[in-house]
Amino acid sequence: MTATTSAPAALPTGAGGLWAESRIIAGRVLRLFVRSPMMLLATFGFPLLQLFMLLAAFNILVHDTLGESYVVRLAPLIILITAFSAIGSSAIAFWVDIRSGVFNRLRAMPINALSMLFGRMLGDLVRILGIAVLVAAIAYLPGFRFEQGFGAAVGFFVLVALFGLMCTSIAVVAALSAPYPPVIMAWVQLPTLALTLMSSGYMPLDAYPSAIRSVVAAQPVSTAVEALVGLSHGGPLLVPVLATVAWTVGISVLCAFVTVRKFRNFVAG
Amino acid sequence: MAEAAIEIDRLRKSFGPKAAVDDVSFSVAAGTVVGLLGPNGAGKTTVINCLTTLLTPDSGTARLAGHDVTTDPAGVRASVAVTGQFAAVDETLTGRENLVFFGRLLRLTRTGASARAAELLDQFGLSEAGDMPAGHYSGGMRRRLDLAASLVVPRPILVLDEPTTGLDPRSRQALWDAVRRLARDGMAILLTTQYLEEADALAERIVVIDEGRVIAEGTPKELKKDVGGSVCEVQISDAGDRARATGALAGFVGVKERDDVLVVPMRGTDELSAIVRALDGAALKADDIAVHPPTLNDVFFALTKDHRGSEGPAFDTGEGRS
Ligand SMILES: Nc1ncnc2c1ncn2[C@@H]1O[C@H](COP(=O)(O)OP(=O)(O)OP(=O)(O)O)[C@@H](O)[C@H]1O
Ligand SMILES: [Mg+2]
Repeated sequence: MTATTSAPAALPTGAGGLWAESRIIAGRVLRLFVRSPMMLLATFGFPLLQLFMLLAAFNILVHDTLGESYVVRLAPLIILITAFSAIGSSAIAFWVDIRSGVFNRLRAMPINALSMLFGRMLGDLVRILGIAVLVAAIAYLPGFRFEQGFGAAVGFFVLVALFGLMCTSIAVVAALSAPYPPVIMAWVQLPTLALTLMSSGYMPLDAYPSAIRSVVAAQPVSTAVEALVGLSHGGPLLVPVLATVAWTVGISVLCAFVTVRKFRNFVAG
Repeated sequence: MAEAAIEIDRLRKSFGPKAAVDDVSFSVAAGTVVGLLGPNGAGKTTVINCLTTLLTPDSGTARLAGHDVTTDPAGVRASVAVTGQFAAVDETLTGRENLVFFGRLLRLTRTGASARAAELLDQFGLSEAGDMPAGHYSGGMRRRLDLAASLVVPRPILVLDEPTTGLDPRSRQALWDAVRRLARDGMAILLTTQYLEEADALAERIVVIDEGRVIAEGTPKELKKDVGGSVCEVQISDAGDRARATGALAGFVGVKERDDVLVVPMRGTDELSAIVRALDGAALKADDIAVHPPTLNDVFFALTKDHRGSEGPAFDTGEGRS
């Protein structure tokens, strides 16, 4: 072998090393995402199409009944849908990843095994946030605005990040639990579809039958939509924000417990 | 003498009730190549996985560059480069991106990783394909990229699991050259293979395992001496003629019939003319006559006879029929 052009720096261990490695692996996750037209379409193109189709179909109707533009609620909902749609594709990608030769190579390399997990989650978070910013920017055209100032806008994306954290946590658990990939879609698609359709994002709460109204109001997509509407357009804030934080952090922590146990088995081989 | 780079002592690993590796001991010194030879399911990959910390041994010890796989796996990982049995590169990334990715993970700087990637692509004849997704590579190119990925940051020990299975002769030769070069530079190299020819070409010493146990160990020369010389295969389709030929060849020791082929063990090359004369004398015409050096089949047959009784190995590489 020829002389090496560059010797590696001493391997930092502990948290610094884990962060550096996770970032590099997140970079790979993002690169693979950008190269996959199917994933781009599923997590970005299709939700965007939904935004404009629903606007075209219902804007006038909603405007007449609510007295506000539909895009005010719809844009936040679409952002949450892009995060939701990341679950399936990310879970399948991770499912394949942790069974691949590359994963084995990484396991035999002097790096922190957790970086494979954190790298995936970090990559997912960045992509969910990136897409959220893009959707918000595009929704500017039909009239979506941040009317509550800079701090509220930052809060808006912090909440989206929390929601994204929940999504990637679920994706990781699904990848670690599914016996084979098609199962993941079955697990993920129906619940997320039900949650988005039965939320106060598509229809105002008053439009739901009174029997299920409280359930619709309390579920995470509804609380998140309300919170995001509050942080962009304006409206009630405290309760929906707290409820959303409770939902997303709670589910993420639950997932973390399952993940730690299952991921350890995968690394042990 | 200093401790060998790889030192394996009474290694055991079971999956359920079945022992995949059962009491394996051997060592590999720096600057040498040791071949781990065995049929499918012999336990080669299991040994490798124990050495590279992908599996934890049930008992016994393995030390690599002085680090114990059980008590100091991190030290082992920092000393060993491994190319597994199945390609471990990202098919969506290009060859170059794969190498940069692994280099960055091993703390090369961005420019350092790029430079090293270019160097390795060049060294393994992949410069032109460097910016193509690895998924579009041929089997041989992928194998070379895989080996290159193991060498991004040099380690004192290299472990290769069936590095040339599925390669054409030219790619195989190129890979052999690379392995020889690395050993010359002082690496300790352990490679598994199913081909005697490969172990012969590369390894100073060969460890033969079967059913998780070491059944022979030595230099290629020593092993081949145990097995005996080449065989002459005389193919005669007509059963009657074949029976007459068996009679005509009665003077040769250990003639066996395999389908429509008579296999005649040879003690020297001059025996070929004797075989041909014997057939001529009986006015027999063979459909085909071929001389083969001992194949892995023969090695195994010879080596496993004692250890399995008369049953012999359930093993056929398809070699020796060419
Ligand atoms: N993860 C596992 N679970 C159960 N059994 C296993 C596992 N890995 C290997 N084995 C068994 O252990 C034995 C040795 O397998 P191993 O993969 O080490 O063989 P090998 O020599 O590498 O074979 P090959 O030449 O086919 O690659 C086989 O009988 C195999 O079925
Ligand atoms: Mg194997």
